[in-house]
Amino acid sequence: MTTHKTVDTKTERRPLKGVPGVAPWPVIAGFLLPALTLYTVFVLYPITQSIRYSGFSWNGLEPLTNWVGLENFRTALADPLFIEAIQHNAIIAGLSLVVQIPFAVGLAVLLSRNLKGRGVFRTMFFAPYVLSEVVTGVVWRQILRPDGLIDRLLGSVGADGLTQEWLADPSIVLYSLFFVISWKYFGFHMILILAGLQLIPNELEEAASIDGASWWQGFRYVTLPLLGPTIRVSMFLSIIGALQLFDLIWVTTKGGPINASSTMATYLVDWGFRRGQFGYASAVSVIVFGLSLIVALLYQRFVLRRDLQGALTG
Amino acid sequence: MNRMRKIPLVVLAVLALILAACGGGGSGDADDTTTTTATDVSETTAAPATTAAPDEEMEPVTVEWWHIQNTDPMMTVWQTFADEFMAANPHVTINITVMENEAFKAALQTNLQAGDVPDLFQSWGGGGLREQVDAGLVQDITESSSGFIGNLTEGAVGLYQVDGVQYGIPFNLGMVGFWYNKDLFAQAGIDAPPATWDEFLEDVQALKDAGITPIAVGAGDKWPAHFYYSYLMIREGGEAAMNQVAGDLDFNKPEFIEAGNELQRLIDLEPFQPGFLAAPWDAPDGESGAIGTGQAAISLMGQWGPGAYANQSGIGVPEDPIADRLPGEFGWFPFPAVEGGAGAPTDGFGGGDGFAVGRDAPLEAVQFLEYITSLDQAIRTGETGTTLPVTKGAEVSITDPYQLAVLEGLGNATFVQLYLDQFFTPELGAAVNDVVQTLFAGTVTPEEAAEAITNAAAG
Amino acid sequence: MTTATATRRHPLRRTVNRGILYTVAVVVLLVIIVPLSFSVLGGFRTTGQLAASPVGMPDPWVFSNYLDTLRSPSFYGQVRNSLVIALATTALVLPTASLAAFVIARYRFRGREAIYILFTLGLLFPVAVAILPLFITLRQTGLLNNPLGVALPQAAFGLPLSIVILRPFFRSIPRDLEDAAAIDGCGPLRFYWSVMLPLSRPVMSTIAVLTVVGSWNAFLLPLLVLIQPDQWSLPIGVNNVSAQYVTDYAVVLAYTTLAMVPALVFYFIAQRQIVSGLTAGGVKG
Repeated sequence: MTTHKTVDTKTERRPLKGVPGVAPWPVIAGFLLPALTLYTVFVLYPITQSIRYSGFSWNGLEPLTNWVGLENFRTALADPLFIEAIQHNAIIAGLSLVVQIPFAVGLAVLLSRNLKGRGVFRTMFFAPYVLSEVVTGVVWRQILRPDGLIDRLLGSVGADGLTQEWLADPSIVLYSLFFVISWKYFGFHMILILAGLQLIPNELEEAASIDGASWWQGFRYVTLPLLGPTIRVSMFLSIIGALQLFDLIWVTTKGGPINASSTMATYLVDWGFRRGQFGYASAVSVIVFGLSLIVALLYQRFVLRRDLQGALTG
Repeated sequence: MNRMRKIPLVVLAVLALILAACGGGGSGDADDTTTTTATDVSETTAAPATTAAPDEEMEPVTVEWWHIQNTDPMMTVWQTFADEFMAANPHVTINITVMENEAFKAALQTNLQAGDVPDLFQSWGGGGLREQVDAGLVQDITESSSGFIGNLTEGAVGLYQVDGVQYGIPFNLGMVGFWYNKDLFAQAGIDAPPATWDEFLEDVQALKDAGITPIAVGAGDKWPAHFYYSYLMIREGGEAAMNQVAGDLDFNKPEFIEAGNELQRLIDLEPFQPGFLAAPWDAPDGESGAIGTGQAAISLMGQWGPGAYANQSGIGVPEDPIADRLPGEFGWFPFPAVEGGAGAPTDGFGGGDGFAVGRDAPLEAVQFLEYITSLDQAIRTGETGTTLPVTKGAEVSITDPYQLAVLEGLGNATFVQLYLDQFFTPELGAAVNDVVQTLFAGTVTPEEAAEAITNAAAG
Repeated sequence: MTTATATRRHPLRRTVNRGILYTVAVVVLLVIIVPLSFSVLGGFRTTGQLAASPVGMPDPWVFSNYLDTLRSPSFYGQVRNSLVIALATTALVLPTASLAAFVIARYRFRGREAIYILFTLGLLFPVAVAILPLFITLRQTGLLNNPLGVALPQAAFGLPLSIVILRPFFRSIPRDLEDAAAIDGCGPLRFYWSVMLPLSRPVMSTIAVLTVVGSWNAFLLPLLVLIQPDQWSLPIGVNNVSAQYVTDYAVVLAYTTLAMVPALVFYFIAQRQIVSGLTAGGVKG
């Protein structure tokens, strides 16, 4: 009860819009309970179990008896294949930031202009996002196979020399997959940014244009800064998505050949299901979570701070 | 006050929803039927009488059966056998779950881990079965199968024993060898299949010189590539070395490194189809596709090879005999002898399929296995041309010349080594396959490969 | 003066620019459409045609792949299962997430930030990470081979994003509105129900659409939970078909194409919601 009083006075002191009000605790609890129950049973509890398993050497079949402490973590961090997987996640994340997001921004700006048929473009650009990863993987496997659609198309324009073993060459496969990933997801970022663009008043750009600024200057010094918060959210979702990348890779290459397209999640599933090392796989999952958390916190601390006031990562 | 009464109601409603969903089966036994419908989650108390009323003199039982023959003809054959068995034994219900191989492995692992063991499930024996035995997930059927196990060939039966105890029943056993396109060999001026590894390498070179892709391999799936490494290990080390490594798990032995060196000689010839590192076994862009369309000449594969090539050839209709649907005349030769190796040229490498019996399976599950491996039924599986039945006397059902060639190879075998990726634990098996893929990619030396496998076994 | 020169220079530059813009847009459009039409057309070929000439029109057109799929009851069963799971997931996420986001956004109570952080942490967890213990939980609660066994965890894993989207929206609604409501004797639940919910319809629709899309496409969880073929969802069916008919890629492409249709139809109907919902300040924070 006393807490409610203090809160009350605080609220009265700062009568801003949207400042949290008060309600009896049974009401609060009642509102929170369904979500918390669901969340606890199906997210928090399994996660704490993962953390518990990570301390055991366990093939998933026998009772949990072989406690090995931090051994699994040491093994994982010393495994070059796991480090390689982390690097692949990082490459995908980096490419997403450097290639995919600017591309999405460019297309969003393009579509925000008075272009004939932009509704059709917008609709089609977003369409791959609603397709499942399984469908995407099955189709692209066919397109990228040796002598498949891509090679044929290159051949028909006389560019046979450019044909590659898109999914079979260990030095290329990751970039082929990045292309497929971008194909599927750029529309989502484009829509986010398009939404952000619509919030920028036209007058600002017009004012810049009247002041003699070129289109590029207007974009660079007016539109882009105002778009900042949206782009940063987009980047954040992109990074987190890259760190958790699984379905599309699993369906298309299973992380191969010779682990050239592995990610932390494919490594994890490989050890959990193919090798049945559940204790070790659990340790890997804890590391994946830890890395995601660190990245999220850093991003929050240095990039998002200005815009979000903790909306995404507390 | 009004709202105070309302809120708990909402909460209760949502809670009720969640609880209703989660209710029932808190400690359900492993032999409960997993085919319950969405609403049927109450199997806590009242006996396993969820399905039918016990009006027969026999207590109704349900057998959960997971198999991976997800294509015809075998899919239909299994369904027919189950229907026949149920008709003859009205108290038995057989619930079939057909899964694709990879999905099966994932689903089985998770189910076993949760203590939910199917009554009958696909097993290759070997290290995977041993793990299940150690965890007490499978049933000792030495006694219950003693009445009919003598009808099956010993070699196959032995794969489903751990320390002399029987845990499953085989229905199919085959062996890996080289399938080759005789027409392409003729084009390259090769008139007889090679008898030694050196001759084999010369033939590969001859094929290359004739502008023919010598070998197709599905190295993306890894296990087709591991056939090469394993066979060379068997040829170099022989039965003794293979038995020894089964115990000490030490691959850092001269004979195994030598096997790697021999494999390296083959890889250095660059004999494989484009994109082999990502190619699966069975797909148009895979090993079977390259052979089936006549783009490559040789494939190291088990008895199921010709059927898969024929399916990829686009020649004829599925009802035609396999030989008519292949791009040319095909033949089979055993893996050639390796000079200086301790192994005999008649030592084989293969494995088969069978069903392990879950720990809580009813006796009827074993009786069903007896039924499907009985001579008449085994002949019916053999007649499909996709299975080499292990029931003695069922050989008569094999009329296909390709299957007969494998059968002859098996008959001559002085020793049969089980597929290495199934012989060892799933973890080590996966490591072997992974390492072989890196050998094929040329990113490790034979020494490093042996070292990596040994480390995986130790770790 | 400057404006005059600018306008004078404009027409030509504008045409050129416009040309460039259209070229870019059309090229991207082709990159999107070619793979999709490859799949659509591939279903009209035989596997032999697919191997021999993947480019161009099928010759002759083969209809059996599509017709066979459309005649198979299992396809419709999978569509129905996917639909049930998607609707159940959405029906679970919307009320639970909005109730929680509502109090987190508008009321002050001890542990509010902690609870919010707890929810946002879930953003960092893909289902794959917790799949094994989750599976055991589902088994213990008897939810295997049950659409709810997929819907409940999906809803739970969908809570973080939903709450993150909803909280700023609920916050942005002026407090005066609530004060006015309170004077009218309207408690939190009434306020939530008769003021907040109607106002948040666009955002809620966005969450619904994202949830349906996510659920419709989910792979790993249904793969492990829905073992019986009659329980399979569409992606599991596609995966199985592509494994079962490895030898017949034309059939696989026909099946895959038909599996895309419901998602695309749904998208074309709901696309307005996606855009307007995201614009309504949703993810923007």
